Amino acid sequence: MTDTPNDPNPIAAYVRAAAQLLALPLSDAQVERVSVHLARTAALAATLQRVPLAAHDEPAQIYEPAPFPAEDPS
Amino acid sequence: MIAAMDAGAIAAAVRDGEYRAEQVLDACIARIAATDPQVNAFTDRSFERARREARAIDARRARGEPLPALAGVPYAVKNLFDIEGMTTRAGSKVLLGDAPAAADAVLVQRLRDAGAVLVGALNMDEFAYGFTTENSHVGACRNPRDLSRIAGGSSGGSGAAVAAGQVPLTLGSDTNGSIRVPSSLCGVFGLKPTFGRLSRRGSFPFVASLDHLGPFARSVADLALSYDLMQGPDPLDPGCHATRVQPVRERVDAGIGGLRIGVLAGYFDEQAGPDARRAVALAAGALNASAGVSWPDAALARAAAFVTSASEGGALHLPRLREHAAEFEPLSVDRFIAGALQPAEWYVRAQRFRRAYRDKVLALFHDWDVLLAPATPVSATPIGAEQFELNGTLVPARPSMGLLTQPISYAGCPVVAVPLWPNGATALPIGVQVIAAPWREDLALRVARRLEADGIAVAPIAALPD
Repeated sequence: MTDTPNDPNPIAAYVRAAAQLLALPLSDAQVERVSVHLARTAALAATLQRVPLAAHDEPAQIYEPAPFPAEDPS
Repeated sequence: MIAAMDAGAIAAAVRDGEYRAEQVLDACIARIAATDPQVNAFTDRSFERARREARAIDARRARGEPLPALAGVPYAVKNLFDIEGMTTRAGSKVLLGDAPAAADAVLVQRLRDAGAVLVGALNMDEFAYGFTTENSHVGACRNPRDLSRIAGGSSGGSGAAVAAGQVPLTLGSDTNGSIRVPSSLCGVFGLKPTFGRLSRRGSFPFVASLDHLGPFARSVADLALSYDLMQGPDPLDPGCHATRVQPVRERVDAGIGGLRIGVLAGYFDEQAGPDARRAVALAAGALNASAGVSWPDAALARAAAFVTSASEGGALHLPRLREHAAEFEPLSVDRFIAGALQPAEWYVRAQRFRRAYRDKVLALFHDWDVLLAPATPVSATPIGAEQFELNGTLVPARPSMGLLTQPISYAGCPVVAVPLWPNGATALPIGVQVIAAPWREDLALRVARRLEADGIAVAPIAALPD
């Protein structure tokens, strides 16, 4: 995320790096505004980090390749 | 006065020959013309189509044919629903160059088949990412109860049009509260059905794993009537989980005898202002509900809903953000970008949490049939407000209007938002969420109907200045 271990604004550095990876051009002013929003979400995400989840706790929705057939093949 | 009639009464009057559908339409158009310069609920008018639909109803009656359940009832839809021949805005400017929709959204098709008359499309937050309908492209939707205040969002036009008496019925979408928040702030009834109940095909998505569609009305009977007519499986919509119709209309007057009704405490009390608490107390008193019910992991669910919405919404719009960020709504573009950049682990963790959360919520409904909670922390705030005061703390106005709705929709439970007036009929309304277990819309509607029948929850047409 950053070359410096004590980056004064690691979220802004992350925003710059992630946006570059996604080919999303951002001005310095946008980086600043986006960082404020991402910091707010980071605080919420941190609460979820404290929730114990086991390996078998699956996501809410699982991709289905096709609906399960109602009848067995003859 | 036709504008004062609810949808069921209009359909009955058209069936009985008291009014022609075209007369009803003329009255509706006149009401929109008189009020929308103040309210700004409509972004598009489909009056030519409406004229064709109304005349077709009158012709059917003249031929002696039986008329369908919503014959001649004017309605309008949030402008993220496809309307054949019109470009679907989804509250944006960047979609205006897209081709017109080739067909109506499924729910619009179903209301059309039921004889309803579509008069236009309604204002909303851009791409449904907001709770205020302060749309910078077309102007803010103003609350008919107080024109200086927000209508709520993101389906603000849908709530305001019903409150202003422009139409008796509208459709909106609810990802995190976008039906329940405008219902609360505009003082009308709204139904957010179970996640996966109604087809979303032909509506512009925001967060596929959370988006719901549903109706607004001024009576519980109209919610039930329109909801029944929109039900039905849709094998072409992978998000439509209902495989059969479960009608509710004949059950809403069954009363509340035997129902175990509780009031949510903890998070739902802490995040509510004084008016919201008074509204819940009024409803609870009328229903003899039990206080002190604890909803599991409400704050965590709100956090997970926030993360999920940001990630899916941001990813959905990333291609447009690369090319057209300057044309996005200034109030939400930075949130979309932040969402697109979120670490994947945040999103996956939120979805894994959701599975465990679902099981806890379902367990709660072993002990309760219906639960009550405030719909919004406060009543409508002034347009442009950046913050509001919540129990001594200033909180950011735009995201905080969804504090009380997000945990419920993250579980996918059906909710009827009912309008209460804790400070009197001339003050601002505020809503109460009537919550049931998944697939039990009938129970929530029965309780809402009792509150309406007792005069506790009412949705009069707003008195707008001339």
